Amino acid sequence: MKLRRHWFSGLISLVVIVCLWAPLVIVAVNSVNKDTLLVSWKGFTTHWYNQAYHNPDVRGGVKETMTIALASTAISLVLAVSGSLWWRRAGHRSQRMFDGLTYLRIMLPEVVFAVALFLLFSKIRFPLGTTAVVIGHVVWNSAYATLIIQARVATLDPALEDAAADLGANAWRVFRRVTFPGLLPGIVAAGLLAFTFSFDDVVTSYFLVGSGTAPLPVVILSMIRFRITPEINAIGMMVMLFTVTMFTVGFLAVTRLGRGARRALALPEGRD
Amino acid sequence: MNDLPHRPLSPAGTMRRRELLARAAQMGIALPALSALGAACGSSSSSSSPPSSSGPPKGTAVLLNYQGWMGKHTVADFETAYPGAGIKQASLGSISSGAVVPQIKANMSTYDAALGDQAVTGQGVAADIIQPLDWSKIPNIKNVDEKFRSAYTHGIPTDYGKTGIGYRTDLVSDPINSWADLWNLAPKYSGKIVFTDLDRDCIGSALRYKGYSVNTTNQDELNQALQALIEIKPHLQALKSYNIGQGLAQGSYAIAMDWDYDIALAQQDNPHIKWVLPSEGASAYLEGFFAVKDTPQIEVLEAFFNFFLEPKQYADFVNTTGTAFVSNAATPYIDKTIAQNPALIVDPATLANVEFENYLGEATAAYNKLWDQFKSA
Amino acid sequence: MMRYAGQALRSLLALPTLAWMLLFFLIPLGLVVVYSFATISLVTYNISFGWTLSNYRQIHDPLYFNTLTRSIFLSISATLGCLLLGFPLAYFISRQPSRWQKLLLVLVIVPFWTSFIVRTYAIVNLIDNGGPLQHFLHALHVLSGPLNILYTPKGIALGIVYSYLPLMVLPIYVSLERIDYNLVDAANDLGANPRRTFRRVTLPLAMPGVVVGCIIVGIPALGEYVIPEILGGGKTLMLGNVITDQFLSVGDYPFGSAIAVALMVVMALALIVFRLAQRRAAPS
Repeated sequence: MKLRRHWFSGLISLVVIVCLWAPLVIVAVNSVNKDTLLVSWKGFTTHWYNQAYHNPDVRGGVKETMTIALASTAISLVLAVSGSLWWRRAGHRSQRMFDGLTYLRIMLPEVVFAVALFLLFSKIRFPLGTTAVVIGHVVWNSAYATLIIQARVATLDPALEDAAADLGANAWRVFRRVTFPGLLPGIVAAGLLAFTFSFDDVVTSYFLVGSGTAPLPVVILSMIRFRITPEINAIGMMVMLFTVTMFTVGFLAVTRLGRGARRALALPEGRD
Repeated sequence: MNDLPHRPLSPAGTMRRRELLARAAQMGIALPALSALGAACGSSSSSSSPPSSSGPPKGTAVLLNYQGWMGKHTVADFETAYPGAGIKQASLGSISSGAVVPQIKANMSTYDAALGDQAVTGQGVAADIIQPLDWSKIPNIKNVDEKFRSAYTHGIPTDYGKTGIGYRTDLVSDPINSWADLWNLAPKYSGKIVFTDLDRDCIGSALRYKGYSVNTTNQDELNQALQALIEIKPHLQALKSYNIGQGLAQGSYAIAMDWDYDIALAQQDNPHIKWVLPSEGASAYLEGFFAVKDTPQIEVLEAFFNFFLEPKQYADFVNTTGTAFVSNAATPYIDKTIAQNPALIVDPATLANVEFENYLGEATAAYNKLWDQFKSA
Repeated sequence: MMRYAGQALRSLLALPTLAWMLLFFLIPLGLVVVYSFATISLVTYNISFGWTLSNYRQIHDPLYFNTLTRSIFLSISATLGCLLLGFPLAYFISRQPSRWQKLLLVLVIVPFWTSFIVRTYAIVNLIDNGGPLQHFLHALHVLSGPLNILYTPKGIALGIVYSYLPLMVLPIYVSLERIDYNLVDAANDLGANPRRTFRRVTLPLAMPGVVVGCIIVGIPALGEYVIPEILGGGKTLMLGNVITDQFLSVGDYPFGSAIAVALMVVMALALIVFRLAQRRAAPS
């Protein structure tokens, strides 16, 4: 790591990252505390993890949240990429309209969205539940994803794509070999963000889940209304570990696949 | 001891709808005569009686309830006793009772029953969302003490709670016996006081402090309550809607406006906590389960309500939540720490000083405005 | 021939977004606007769809105006905080080799996979008077006496900065990552002033990311209601609280809708002004 050259930003980065993880330390400590009321340290125990793991509400919540987050991230990315690519070559007025639509979604407090969709769904008798929540999430998730990918698209050099097209590649090939690799960091960043948002979302999920399985944040919120216990902290830790594992596995799989595909296509390796 | 309660989810939770008319036709209402007679005196004999109907109720009812506000085994036991019937609990997102009626009204087919206090049922009647119950199906209602039964008529009463004061006797050297004491001591213990983040509780307490009813609609009296609240606000550490007792036990603050059951629980962790029912009086809530209008699961609900009020089952509920209870018939099964806790037991003399929050009707808007003004101050 | 096909294809690209937003955004939004002109009886909860301005007149209370100002001020402070902390972090990450970049990004994101609510309550523990942060600052002799951040507007700002930091870091990183630092380094090695290079080259290229970051932090921060409740001790009424209360606690959908519409109008105006100024500053 090039530390010495960027010592200032490096120092701030260190401080920030430590601060980002500090609350986690508290959560971890709380999750193994024997004291139910979390007043003082009463000894180490894994009892809470056991309880959380076997709590049917928690398991249902994790499954539900994962489904919603993955689905809404995937759809949001599709909307964001397609929308940004169109935007790049669109006329000024169309661009401004599209921008307006994007910013409008970010500007509204989420509770207004949630209620608006809730009202709409009740009026047209669309069933509340997982699908409704995913739809709701996509509306604002795609806005954030679009902004990030737009910022990335702005840095792409259209000359590369034009060159590829002139050399005989069709639109899909240009996209796959030139545009997509260029967009990849933006897609990854946008995907991570969208997933994190969906994952933690309370408001939209609460309004649109009806009497279906409650997503995890809603489960936790109702548990906290009663009392903050070590079990809730254990849930937080477990969820984090689970998600990290999932992403590590996914990441390894994708890079293996990517490397294999690149080798097969005899493409140059990415900047490493 | 008082672990975090778990509510077991009903298996699969599929809703099977039966024609209400067909059920009603099959129903033969023939009450066991004996249990009906035992009603008035609250006798302890034969306190548990199942309703009589020729067909067992089937279907799953959705109950809108606070998370954990149910006996640990109640739902599971009910589903064992009545195979084919199930109770699924949905959570109230907001702790404010004002949220229940709008939530139900906006989506009538989602919920079959809900937990609500008198303010909620009053509002529910006005909004026409309450289904009257067939009391002949709920003979165990006789286990509920008369004064609560007559106060809560739209459903089965489940519990009540008072908003009083809890404080650490080792951190506060002056005695506190009234709201006036609290308000007078506020500057001295500034930053160490916590109030509940609930409009009716705060406003009600301020109204009692000024000597008015917690259900007043007189704007002048309300303004005085607002002034009192604004006056004490700079000394408040926070307005909390959860976990108030925990902070008191930890020593994060020394004085708190809190509910009786929460103080009682915190006392188990720190015996220095003292509960006070202020001399000017306290606002209280009386809550229970009621059925939502036109619910197709009314028989399941009536069976469940009846089951819930069986002394052993009701005791399970009380032991799990630690709340002040409405049925003396269940006392033998209730934990001594709850049954004999001075914070939770109320003798007639003290009960006279407790005022239940009622539905405010049109005045609700005035209370909402007041609350916003207090929060914004 | 291929150009025409390409153009038609490109217009198709807009379709998914436009269709989705029409159905699930614009139409519900229209509903909200319609609701803002309706009235509801808080007794029966029956809504009458008139075209009344009574809800908007209700907003003309100094109570809500103060709340709006307070929220705007807090949001600006939090955005600045995010920028001051987030930019160096994004810059540092973008300067690392690709493998380290990914690791650092993960380090930044992973804490946010632990339920927002659980995390926020952990922050309460952290910044409480008598908590670890106070002890730490005492040990550094930076502070003496109580910390007094929790349950104040400072606590809310801290909570917002913490929760929204990735939102600032990611867009800036995405912009910075594209910069070919080999050229920058070469210029510096050849004698150019590094600070000047940063100001003249790096910073302008990062601007799109900075703008995006500020927008996606600053504006939703205006609508926050959970953080003011938990870290503000419920004592500071923010716009998000007002709106949420109307929908979740009071059930006055028309009034809540009116506040939401008013908020949108204010933000739209601010955004238009901002973009006009931006366009004037950088005509390209």
